[in-house]
Amino acid sequence: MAASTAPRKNFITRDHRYVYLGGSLIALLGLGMFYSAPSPYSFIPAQSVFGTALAAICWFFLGVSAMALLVKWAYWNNYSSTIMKRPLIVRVSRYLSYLDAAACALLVLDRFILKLAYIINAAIHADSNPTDTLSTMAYMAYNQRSLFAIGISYTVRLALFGTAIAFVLALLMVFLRIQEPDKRDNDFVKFLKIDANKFSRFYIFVIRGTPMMVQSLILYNAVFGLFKRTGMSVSDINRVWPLFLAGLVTISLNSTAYLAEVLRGGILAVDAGQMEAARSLGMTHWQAMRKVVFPQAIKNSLPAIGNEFIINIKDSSVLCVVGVSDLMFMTRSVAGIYYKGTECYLIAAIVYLFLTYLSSLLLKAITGKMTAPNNTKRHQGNQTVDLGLPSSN
Amino acid sequence: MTNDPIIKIEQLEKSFGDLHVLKGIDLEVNRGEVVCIIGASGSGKSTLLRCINLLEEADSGHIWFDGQDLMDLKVNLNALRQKIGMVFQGFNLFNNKSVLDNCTLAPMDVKHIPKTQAEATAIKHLTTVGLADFIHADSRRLSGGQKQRVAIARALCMEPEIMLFDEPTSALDPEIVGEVLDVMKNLAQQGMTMVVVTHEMAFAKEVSDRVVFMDQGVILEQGSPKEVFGNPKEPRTREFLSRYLEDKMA
Repeated sequence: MAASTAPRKNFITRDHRYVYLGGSLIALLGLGMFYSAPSPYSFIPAQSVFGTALAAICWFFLGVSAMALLVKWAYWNNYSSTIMKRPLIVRVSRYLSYLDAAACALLVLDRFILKLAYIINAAIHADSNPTDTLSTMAYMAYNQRSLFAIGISYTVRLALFGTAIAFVLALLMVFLRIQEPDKRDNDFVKFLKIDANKFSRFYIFVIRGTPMMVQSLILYNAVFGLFKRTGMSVSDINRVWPLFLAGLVTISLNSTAYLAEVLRGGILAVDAGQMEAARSLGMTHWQAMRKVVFPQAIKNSLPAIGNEFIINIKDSSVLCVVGVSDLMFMTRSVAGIYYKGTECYLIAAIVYLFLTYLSSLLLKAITGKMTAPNNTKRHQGNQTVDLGLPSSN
Repeated sequence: MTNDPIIKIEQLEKSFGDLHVLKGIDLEVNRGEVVCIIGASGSGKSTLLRCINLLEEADSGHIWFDGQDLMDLKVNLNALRQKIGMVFQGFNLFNNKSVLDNCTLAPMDVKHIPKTQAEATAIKHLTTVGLADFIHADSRRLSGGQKQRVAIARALCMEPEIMLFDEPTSALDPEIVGEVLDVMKNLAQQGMTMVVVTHEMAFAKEVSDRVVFMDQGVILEQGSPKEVFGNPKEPRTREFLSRYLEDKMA
C-alpha cells in the first residue's frame, strides 16, 4: 500500500521538466472546451464570470509558457541561470499548472461529459431512432437492453463454465499426454500409455488445427442428427440438446486442447529435480505428480489459464453461427431490427472490450494473490510449534 | 566393521548414447560403513550413485541391495527407494511445501504414518540438523545450507537403511559448507551407512571408512583414507590428488 501511494505523492510534490509544454497542451484542451457549444446540462455558461475566469487561467498559463519559451530562445545556452529557473519561480509555475489542470478538468466535465450525458439521455427518450452515430447507439442500446443483457449473460456463462470445464478436462488430457512407457511396465500398461499419448496428441492436433466455428457446426448438427435417428421430435431434441449446451460443449472441448498444452508447458517448467526427489523418497510417479509437480505446474500456468478465459469471452462470438444467444447473436438481431450495422457492432465492440478489461482486472487480482510469494521475510525467529511437543533449541 | 554388505555391485555398465559412463563397476558397501567416492568431474561418480536407487537405469550388471537384485525388472522400485535416502546437489526441496511438509509428505503418503506421528518424527530430525526454528518456514526462502540440511532431514524421516549423497556441498558457498558437513559427520557417528560423492577431501579423509577413486568410468583405486590419500598406488590417483591440493592452495 505504502509503495503505491508514495509515487503518487511524489508526483504532486516533485518539480518536473516539461511543465510548460504539458500545461500548455492542457490549457489548449480547456480552451477548446470553453469555446465549444454548451449543452442544456451545462453549469458554466459561455458568458458567466466563473467560465471566463477558468478560460483566463488557461490563457494566463499559455502566456507564461510563451514567455518561458521566449526566455529559453534568448538564453539558449545559459537558460538554467535565468530567472525562470529560480526555485521559487519553478515552484510557482508548478502550482500554476495544477490550477490550469483543475480549470481544464472542470471545462471537460461541463462541455464534454455532461454533453455526452445529455445526448445519451435525449437519445434514450427519443421516439424514433436518431440519425447521428452516438445517439443511435445510445437509442438502440437502451431500447434493446434486454436483448443485450441476455447476450452478455450467455457470453459470460459460456466463457466462465467453458473454461472451468475445459480446465478439468485439460488436467485429464495432459495426464494422457505426458504418459511415457517405462521399461518396468508390463505390456498392457505400455500399450495403454502409448495409446493414451497418441490419443491426446491426435486430439490436440485436430482441435488446434480446425476453426471453432466449424467445430461448433459439426458438433451441433451431428448430435442433432443422432437424436433425429432415434425418432425424437424436433421439440424434444431441442429440449435435451439446447443451443446453449451445444455452445458450451464446443467451447469446453476446444479450450481443453489449448489448456492441455498450457498445462504441459507448466509441467515442463517444473524442475526435474522435484520429481527425482519425490521418487527417491519412494513416492510413485502418480503420487509425485499429484502432490509435488501438478500444484507447481498449475501455479505456473495460472496467467495463461486466465488468458484462455479472456480469449473465450471473445471467441464465443463464433458460436452465433449455430444460433447460441450470445452477445454477438443478439447484436446481429438488433442490427437486423434497425438496419444499422456499424452502430450495433460498435456497441458489441464496446461491451466486449469492457468485459475483457473487467476480466483481466479480476484475474490480475486473483492470480496475483495466488502466485505471490508468501509475504514473510526470511525466517529468523522462534516459530512455535503447536503440537504439544517440548520445544527444543 | 562386520563384513555384511548392504550393497553389492557387480560389473555395472551404463552408457548415455555413445558416451560410455560406467565401464564394469564392482563395489561393496557394508552396513554402517561410510564410503566416499572421489574423482574428476565426468568420471561417473554421480551416475554410479544414481544407479543405486535407479534414478538412472544401468544397462547391464547387478546391484544387490539386501540380497535383492535391483536389475530385476520385477523389483518393487518404490518399496526399495523408501530404504535408500538420497541427498542431491541441488537440494530439490519441494517448492510448494513448507519445511515441515517437505519432511512429512513421503512418510504420510508412502508409509501411511499418521500426521501427528510423522510431524513428531520430522521435528525430531529437523532439530538434529539444527533447524527447529524453521519448521514452518517457506522452503524457498532458506539459505543453501539450510535447504540442504532440510533435505537431509527429509531423507531421514523415511528411516532409510542407507543414505546416498550426490555432491551435497557443491552448490554451497565455502562458508556454509561446514554446517552441512557437520550434520553428515554426526550422521556417520550414529552409524548410518553412507555413500558420499564429494569433492571435500578433508571430509573424506576424516569421516570415511573407505575412499573410492573413480576415473573414466572405472574404480581405479580404493582403500582406507590413510592408504588412498597417504600413499596412492596409481599414478592417476596421485595426479588427481596433487592437482586437487594445488587447486586448494591457489
